[in-house]
Amino acid sequence: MIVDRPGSHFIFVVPFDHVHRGYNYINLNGIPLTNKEYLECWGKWLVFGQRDEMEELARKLDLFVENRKVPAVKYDRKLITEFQLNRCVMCVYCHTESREDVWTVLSSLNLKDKAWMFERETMEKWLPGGVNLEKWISGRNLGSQQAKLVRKSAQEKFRELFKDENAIFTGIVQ
Amino acid sequence: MNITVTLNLLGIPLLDVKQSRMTLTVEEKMTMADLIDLIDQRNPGFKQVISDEDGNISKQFVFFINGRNISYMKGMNSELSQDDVVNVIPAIAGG
Repeated sequence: MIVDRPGSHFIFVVPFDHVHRGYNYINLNGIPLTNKEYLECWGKWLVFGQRDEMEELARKLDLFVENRKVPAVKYDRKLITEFQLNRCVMCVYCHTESREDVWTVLSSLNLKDKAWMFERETMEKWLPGGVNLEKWISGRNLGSQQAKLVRKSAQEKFRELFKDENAIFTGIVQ
Repeated sequence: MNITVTLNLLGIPLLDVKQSRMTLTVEEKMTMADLIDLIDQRNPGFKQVISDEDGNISKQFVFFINGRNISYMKGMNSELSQDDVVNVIPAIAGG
């Protein structure tokens, strides 16, 4: 089902059971991933397009998400102008072991441009010194003290989230 | 022997290139570094835009060969093969 909360930058496509019955789509063969497994194995195919293209693709992917051929999808509600991207980005999530199966689904929908990214890579971009966090800081013209606090907060948040590598990964609020 | 490869610049507005998608005929076993030099010859300034202050390829961009991040391969020394598709995306994407 498509989850469109106006307060969020992202629009999600997740299984109905995830929203209403506590189903955890971050799994491999039905077994939820630990924090360690999440960082090592979970990732996404990146798809670029205009907002209307994203919407159309999301509608098509919804069926595959409900059938659990594709675990989950999220895409940009609008262009992130401060990041100087000229396309919206869609993330089509899955475990690395099933990524070619998921790509087969995507290619059946005429997608051709392959770009796979692990979630760990994304996390690292939001840590101090990471491309995303530093760009976010500079985009807001934060003073050095504020920037330092933001970096410290990002580091602590990451540490807290993944401190128990054997715990089941519980997700990140977005 | 020459091979054909495709290069796509995805979601990147700042690169002053003539096309965001190009098919190139290049020498077999050309590396990613060689490919960037070739594109720079055809689109002067390309390399400078994607490089950092030290002249290395900037971390602001991520390169993929057939969907695989080249940092998991041989980086800029990764060799290209017939029909390879090289995608370049802004590192900021997907976060």
